Amino acid sequence: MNILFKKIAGTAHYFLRNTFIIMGICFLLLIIAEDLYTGFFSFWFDIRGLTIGVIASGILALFTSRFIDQS
Amino acid sequence: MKIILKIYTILLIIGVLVFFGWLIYKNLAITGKIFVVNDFCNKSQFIPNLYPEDRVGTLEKENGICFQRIFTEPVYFKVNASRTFSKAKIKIIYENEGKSIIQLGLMKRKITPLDWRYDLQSADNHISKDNIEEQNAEFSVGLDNITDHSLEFIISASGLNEGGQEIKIRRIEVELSRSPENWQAIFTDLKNYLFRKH
Amino acid sequence: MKKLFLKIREDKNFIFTLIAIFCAVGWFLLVIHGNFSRSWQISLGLIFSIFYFLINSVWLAKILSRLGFEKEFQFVFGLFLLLFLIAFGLAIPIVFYKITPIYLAFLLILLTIVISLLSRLKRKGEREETEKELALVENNEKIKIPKFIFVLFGLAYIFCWFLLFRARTGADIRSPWLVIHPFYLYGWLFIIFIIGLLIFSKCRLKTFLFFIILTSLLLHSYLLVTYQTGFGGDKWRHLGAEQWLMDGHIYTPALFGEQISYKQLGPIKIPEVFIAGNKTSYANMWGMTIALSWLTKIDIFYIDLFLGLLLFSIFLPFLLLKIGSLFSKKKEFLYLLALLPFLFFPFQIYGSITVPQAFGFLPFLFSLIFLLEYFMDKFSFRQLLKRLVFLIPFLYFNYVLYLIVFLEIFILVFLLKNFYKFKRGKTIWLALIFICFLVLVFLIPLLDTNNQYSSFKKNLTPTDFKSALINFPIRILTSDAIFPRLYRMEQDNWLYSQTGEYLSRATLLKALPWHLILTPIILFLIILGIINYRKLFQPKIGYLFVLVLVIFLLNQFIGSYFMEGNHIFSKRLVILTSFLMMIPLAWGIYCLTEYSKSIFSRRAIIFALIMIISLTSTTVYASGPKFQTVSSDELAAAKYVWEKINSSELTDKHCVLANTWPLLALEAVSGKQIVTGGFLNYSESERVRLFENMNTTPSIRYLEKAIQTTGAEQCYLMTEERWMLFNHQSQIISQLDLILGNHQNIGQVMIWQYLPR
Repeated sequence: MNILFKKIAGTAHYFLRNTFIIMGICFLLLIIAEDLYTGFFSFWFDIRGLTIGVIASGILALFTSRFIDQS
Repeated sequence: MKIILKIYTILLIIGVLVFFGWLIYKNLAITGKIFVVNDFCNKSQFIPNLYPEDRVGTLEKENGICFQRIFTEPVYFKVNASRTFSKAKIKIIYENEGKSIIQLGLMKRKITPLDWRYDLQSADNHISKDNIEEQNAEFSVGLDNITDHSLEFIISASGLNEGGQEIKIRRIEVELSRSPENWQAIFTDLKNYLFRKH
Repeated sequence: MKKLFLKIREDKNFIFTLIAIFCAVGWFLLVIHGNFSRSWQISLGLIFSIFYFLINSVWLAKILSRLGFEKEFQFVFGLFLLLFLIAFGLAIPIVFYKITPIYLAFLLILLTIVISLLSRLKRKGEREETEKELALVENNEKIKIPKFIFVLFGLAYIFCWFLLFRARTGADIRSPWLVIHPFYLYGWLFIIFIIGLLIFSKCRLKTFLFFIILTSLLLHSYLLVTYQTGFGGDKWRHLGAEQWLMDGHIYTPALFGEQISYKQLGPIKIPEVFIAGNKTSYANMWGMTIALSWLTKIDIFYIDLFLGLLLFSIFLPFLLLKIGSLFSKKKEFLYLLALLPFLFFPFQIYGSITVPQAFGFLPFLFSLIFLLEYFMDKFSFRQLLKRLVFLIPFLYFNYVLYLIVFLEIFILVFLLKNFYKFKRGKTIWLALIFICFLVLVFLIPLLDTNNQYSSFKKNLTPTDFKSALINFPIRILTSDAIFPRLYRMEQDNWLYSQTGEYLSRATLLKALPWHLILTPIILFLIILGIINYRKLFQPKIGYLFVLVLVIFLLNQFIGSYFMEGNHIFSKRLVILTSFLMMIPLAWGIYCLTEYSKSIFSRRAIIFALIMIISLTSTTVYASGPKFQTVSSDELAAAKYVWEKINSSELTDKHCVLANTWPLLALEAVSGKQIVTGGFLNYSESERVRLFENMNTTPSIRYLEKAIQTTGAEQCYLMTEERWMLFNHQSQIISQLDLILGNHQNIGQVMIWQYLPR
């Protein structure tokens, strides 16, 4: 069970890492676009959800990072 | 597993690109019309609440109806606009205890912080039951009216300050319109939006 | 260059001593003949200054090498010490009498002779210097940074400078972030991220310091570049004082040249000059500014603009590295310590302006090195006393708070050293340490009550104590203001300047309440660092710093919750608090990267920590300052009024009715000849009332009252439309023109002159 958990965690790390990177880039592009064109996203949705999502995926990627050898 | 990871990554990237496409679609106002409402129950991204704070009350709810009170006039509200429009149709629904004469106006862009120029319009009143009034007005809008990506409107209620009465604003509806997108000119219009920001 | 340095160090036949003296004499001759105003004279003066500084810095480096300074630090500290010795040397006559260029020339010659002779002294049996090296301990796992990242760094760096210059304005703005484009913050975020990566790469010390200094210059230029007239209010008072001194006047109180004023200190009556903290604290800063202005012929306005920024950017990293090396020689820890001033608002702002509180911090850190080396058993108590013979007067003519803090730390060091040294009698030493701790917790709040600047609140109840005990840690945890906001001006805090308002329109700042997320993380890392002090080679230095930090936090706790008034000392502990937080923060981050392999991969935790550092630095950077300043129109108007007053043959009593900020500018341009417009002080209610009245219902009688109060023969009114009654500006201006004659326009400022018949 322990080995299985480590394998799953190790695999999940790569998915979480890619999610963090891509959503992080999306976040940065959104805030840059908003600064250039006021209301680009702020008129349509609240970015807090995306920000929390990026941070959460980053934290989970961090905590699963030590299992990458096991995947 | 590597293949699944690759597919997942590609799907994410496509999702982000679709999302950006959707945002541009919304911001361009492809249909030529945007209809926005502030019913004072939920926060509206397009029509923030009335101001200044010392002339208006906080948001209230009575018998399921939300409203914001006006104690002293004039008061203002903004309409956020992602780009320029040519017409703005305003409808406000309110309770007018003292039967003050309501006028709506559109502000011109401020050149200095103390610049205060606006076009006031008297409009038709429709009195429906229970003393609920509805006011409509239509304005021509241009670049001259946009300050910080928003249109600023004034609600003037003459006689309100002396009478000691209140007005309860229940709903503000705004329809902003411009010429609808011509698919052949979409790239020109996109360029206009991206580079000139209107 | 190395050969030149060696030759200077040898100084065969005193040749370089003579050259340095010649440079000092040459400069002085340029001053007294031809008034030092032609471009060839200025160039020659600069050459003399450069050679003088180079030669004496090399000798001071030699002296410092004998005092145990590593070769990486010697020359920079030599230059640092030379600058502050000149400042110290000029501070003495500024405090007691006055200064002239001849005194500076004499000081430069004397310093050369003394430094030259001291550099030749050898202890008995001492061999030729064996150069001590820093010997950093590196981790073998390093991050590889692709070369193109450095290209991006360069582009981001240039882009940020471009945006700063684009934001430059002479208008009165509440904060630089209102005019600096939000993209500057994203550029800054990227730059700090790259510097963070450099810490964990194979970057050499010299290269890393180069990047740190370069980045520091950018960071601290946000006030210098954005504000055409410079930032701050007190700077104008200092400029006024410096101009006054340069004109050969005595700055009261003094010991010579005027009647001595005395103050009662308990049973003794002593000349006021010895305890005039607002003179002894500023004198060395005035001295250095004046010296550099005389040596380079650059106006003191520009020296003042650049001095603080250059001193902090160049010398602070070295001071922190030297102090940090006493904790540990781990490379990543020391590099982190050099980076972390970019995180804390007090370091961001005080490194950007030239004020005594920031200026005096650097010699304090330098003096602290010797105290800490003694604590770490590098030399004996006797040798420390020899150093204190110089250091105490050196810090006396410095911002007085740092002298007090230095003495506090000296006492703690003495007690703790004996506690660790003696195997028996530890209980007695512990008891003494505890008593000392209690005394120091109350010392600074008690000093706040000096001259009734502050007082203890009356009628405090146990509920007040209880709520204070709960409230204070919450304020620390959320970066909320510890001290009340006086006069609606924002006061700095240990991390964020303020958290109530977005000063920049950058969307990043509004994405989340970053201060609520990052402050607890930073505090967690600080506590982690403190817990891991046991891993240090000699943990006692860490525990000393923890003890001092606790004392300062308690000082601030007492000051903010149980006292009211100006809190002149306890409020100004903020840069010290940030400094004391910085070291365990650096150690905590280092330990997390080194010892958390069982929880995270090293790369992942490094990346996460660099992200946290970058985000914290950026969001703190954007949190302040929020302050009013003198606009370029106000400065021009002040110059105009001073020219008019100076050219008219009237008494030395003046009357200028205006808002505080143009009057501050006037104090500077008039060289302190007109202070507060001739009124008692800047907050005098009568001046404020008269000014308000003239802007709402103007009348001759208010100006007559102003003339009566100031004793002047005429009065000027300086105002702007924004101070006038709303919607009535044009009527008020017309009325003023009617009663006083047509006004003079200097940009937005309008000036009227009232001359009673």
